[in-house]
Amino acid sequence: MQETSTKDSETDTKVIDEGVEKGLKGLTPEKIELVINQVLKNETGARLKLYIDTCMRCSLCADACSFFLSNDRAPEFSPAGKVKQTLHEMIRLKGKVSKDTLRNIVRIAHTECNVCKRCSMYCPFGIDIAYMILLVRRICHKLEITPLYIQDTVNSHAATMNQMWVKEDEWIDTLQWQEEDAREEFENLRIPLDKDGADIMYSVIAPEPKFQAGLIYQSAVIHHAADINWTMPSFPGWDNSNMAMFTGDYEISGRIAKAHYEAATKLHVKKIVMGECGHAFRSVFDVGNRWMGWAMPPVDVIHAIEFYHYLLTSGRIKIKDKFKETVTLHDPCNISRGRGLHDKARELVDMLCESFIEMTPNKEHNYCCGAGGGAINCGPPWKINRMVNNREKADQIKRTGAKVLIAPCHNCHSGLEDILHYYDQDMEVKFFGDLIFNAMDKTIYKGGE
Amino acid sequence: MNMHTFIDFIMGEMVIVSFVIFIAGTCGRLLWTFIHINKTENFIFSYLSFKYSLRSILAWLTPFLPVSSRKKPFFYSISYTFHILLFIVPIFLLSHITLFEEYLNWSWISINDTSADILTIIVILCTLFFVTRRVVVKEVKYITRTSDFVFIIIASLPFITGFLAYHQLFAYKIIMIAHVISGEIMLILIPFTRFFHMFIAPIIRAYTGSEFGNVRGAKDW
Amino acid sequence: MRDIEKWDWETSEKEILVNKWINDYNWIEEIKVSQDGENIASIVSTGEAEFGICVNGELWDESFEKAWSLQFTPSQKLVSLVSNDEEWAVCIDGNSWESKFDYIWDLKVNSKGVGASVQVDGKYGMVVNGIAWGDLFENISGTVLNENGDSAAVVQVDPISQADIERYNNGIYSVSVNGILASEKHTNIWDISFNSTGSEVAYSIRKNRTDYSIGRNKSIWDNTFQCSWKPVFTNNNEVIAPVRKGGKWYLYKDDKQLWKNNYLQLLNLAVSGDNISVAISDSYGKWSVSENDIKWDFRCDKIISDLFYSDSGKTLIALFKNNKYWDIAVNNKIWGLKADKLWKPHISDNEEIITTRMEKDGKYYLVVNGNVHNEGFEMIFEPEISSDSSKILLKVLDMGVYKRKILPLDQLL
Repeated sequence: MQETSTKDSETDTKVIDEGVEKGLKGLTPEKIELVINQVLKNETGARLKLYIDTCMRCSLCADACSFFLSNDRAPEFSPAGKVKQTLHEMIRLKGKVSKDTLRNIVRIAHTECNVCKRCSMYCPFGIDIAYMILLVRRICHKLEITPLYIQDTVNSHAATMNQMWVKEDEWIDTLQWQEEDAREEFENLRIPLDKDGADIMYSVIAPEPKFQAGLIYQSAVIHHAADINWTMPSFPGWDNSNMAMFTGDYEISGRIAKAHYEAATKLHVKKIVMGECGHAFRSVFDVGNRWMGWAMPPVDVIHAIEFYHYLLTSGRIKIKDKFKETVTLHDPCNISRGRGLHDKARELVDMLCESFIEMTPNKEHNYCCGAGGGAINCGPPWKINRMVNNREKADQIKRTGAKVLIAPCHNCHSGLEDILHYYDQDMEVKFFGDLIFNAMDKTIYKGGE
Repeated sequence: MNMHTFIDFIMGEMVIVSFVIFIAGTCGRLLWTFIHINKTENFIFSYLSFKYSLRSILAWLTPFLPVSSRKKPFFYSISYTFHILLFIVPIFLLSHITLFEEYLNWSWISINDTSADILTIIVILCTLFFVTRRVVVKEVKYITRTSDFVFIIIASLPFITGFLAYHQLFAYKIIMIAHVISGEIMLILIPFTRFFHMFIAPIIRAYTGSEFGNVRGAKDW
Repeated sequence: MRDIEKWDWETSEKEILVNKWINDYNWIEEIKVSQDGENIASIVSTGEAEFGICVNGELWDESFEKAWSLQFTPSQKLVSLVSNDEEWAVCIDGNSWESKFDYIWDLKVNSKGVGASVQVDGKYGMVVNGIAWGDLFENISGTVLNENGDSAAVVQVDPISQADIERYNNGIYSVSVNGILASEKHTNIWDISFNSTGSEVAYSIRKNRTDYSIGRNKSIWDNTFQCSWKPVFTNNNEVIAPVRKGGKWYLYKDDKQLWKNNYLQLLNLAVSGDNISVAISDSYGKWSVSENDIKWDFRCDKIISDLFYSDSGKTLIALFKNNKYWDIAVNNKIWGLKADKLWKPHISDNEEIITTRMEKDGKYYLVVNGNVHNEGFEMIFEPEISSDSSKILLKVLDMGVYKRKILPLDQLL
């Protein structure tokens, strides 16, 4: 029998978001009409027309959406239902959309869709509904009605090239502090800054130096033990995250990707290895690069899962003691649907853990953590809605009965911790890095072994 | 124009006109679609891969391979049946073939009339299912518009009238005329309405399949 | 000053045993080599939380709790950012500046001296040749140090509370030149350029969430754009910048369209005399170079990372990556290197010799005029060309030994 969590309530459609309200206040009907029509006319093309003209309104996408499932199959939460209330409304009214409707549209596009692309896998035609929701967000960006907290994050990106207002000295100081601390593990450990010609540039998301510096410590230990010729940039471009791609601020999104790749080419590295983050991977591998005109990443980009997989299978890192407790694995959308890394993730689990229980559905079909696509970054006003809208995920995790949940993505990590707490589930969320750090043999790899 | 010349017209010149409009319209719209893609979003071509396009299209043509179809077996069974019969019944109907033979001297194998009759009833039942689903299933109802019913009616009319004509129920002549006209209308409308999804769906599928498979190394079914 | 004639171009080989250092210290960091190749240096660990700077095997007198960003200046001085008792300073050839800071980073060196970003009591600015800006700010980014010793940066003028998007929109950033505010406040400012005399600055701005433009000193262009990249001054003191309009990129000069053609992307603007070049994308995912709006023949599918002119402006070089490999194009001709890593080349005074270094399958090689020298090394540092363009100064690490070699070019080519 399927267990259902008990703490559900209805989504609050009356949430007040200061950023949205201030933006709405400054809008006139003329401006609304102008911006919507400009974006629809100048920034869309064949794709949108084909999607709109071809959708047979069969609603097969509905069952793909965890928002729909979490809200007792309320039709407004189905992917096509969301398009109907947002983009279709703008098209139908030829841009003459009221402020109240816009308020609704922002809520739906920003907080009731994770742009996880799961629905594309349930549409028999493969219509990219996430693209349409992102188009709505683009319009919201141009109308300056993006939710407050995610806009603040984008502001940080634009001003500092990182998403957390981390100042340049704070970044370097944190790395040096972690380097010093990590010398507890290896007395000669280094986090080499700006090492010209290193093989690998390791990049992280700004929440790591801001709140979770220990992850940089762990990572430094792993790199050092594996004898990797690596570096981290001391200058902007070190942050691989990108919230601008989720608010439709493609100009800033492109600028972020540019800074990241320019950091890599300035350091003459062969590869960029990214920490355990999904949206950042999507940005660097698949989104920011495209706006810049780089059809594929100009420098090879490797997600931490692939990197760890290489370290373990090549023997650069040896596992001393496997993790004993039963674990389950959450497949982050942006690296399963977004990069097909789910099989490697399972092989990693197998190398690291004694007991694994699958979460279903899984791999490409896994549900989004509910925090993705910028949803968690919309901040405190939207948190309860996010919990309500994510019941399906909580149930899915609960059904595994595992004690530990591996989530190789920062967004997922935070989002899953939120729902586990909200739905009173006693489960610990871990990164692969945590498991490797604890299980590894802390000796330095010698080539030829 | 008396009744006979009218019937001659709709069963003669009008059939040709319908086919010409259908074929020319389809070619024109497909051409326009590719020109439009090239003009507005030509980046799409750099991601398209023949291998992954084909992989995706074949996967979605295989009954019950996509997870989506396994989650909704009842719907997909009906949908597969409907879409297949939509082509099979009119193409392999003996009376249609006879007409072709008469005018163009073309012929091909046919299904017997009893089977055709049963299959026609199945098609009509399928359309009834679609209508019911649009009214009853709340997420479908939510996004349904009047035009969706019109589509189903247009698609079902040739079958309903064909069934009535075959069984010579009601006014045969009128029904027969309605059957011919409804078939022609459907044919003519294909390039200009959402019926065109039969041609666009594989294009979208190819792009999505390529993005998933070629760029992101993932399956899309 | 690069006094290249005075360097030793006669001794065919000199050696320094680096592997000995490995035994002398807990560890040694990256080896840095002076341009004349006479000095090699590294930050070395001399004890627990104690670091020294080792130059040709000799330690500087002073040791540090922390040291990083070691580099040689063009005048062969050795500079490092160092810290003792939680105070940071710049140390040049073993002598620390008297001015101390809570943090110092972003070290920049040129022929006129040394500059860096500094933080004191949570306020930010720059220090140049030991003298810090008089006014410090809430934050700093995008620092520039020109060849006259002028410094500039984007500074946050006003404090901002968490998520105050309104104040941010109204503009809290400005350009500071030598510590003095040199622009109006804008929502965002990026990519400052000095003119040749250092008397003016140009920069890219965002006026609000969606409108971009170009700023010059305290004024901005009348046109607004969808985006803009770094502006550059011409020799005639005009400002050129790539700007985006209607989803396409254009080259603008002094607020007017300069080139007829538009492109999918314009990057790495290079200017020399009357010549202007940009890395362009003219079809999606394909890159080339356009010089004065005339496209080169070659195309690459990954990136053009550097584009620059020789001093005379006669040679235009693009460093690019196609498929998996790095390569160089000189005046529209591809070398065909297939490098895994590749550095920006040097051009001889007579422009006949172009040299650089590359990595291929884990070994480093010297490259001269597109020819890859057959001897691979553990590491090669930036090669130099003699002023008469007859010799190459090769600086390599080979089996733990640093070697300074003089190679006659007639033997190489």
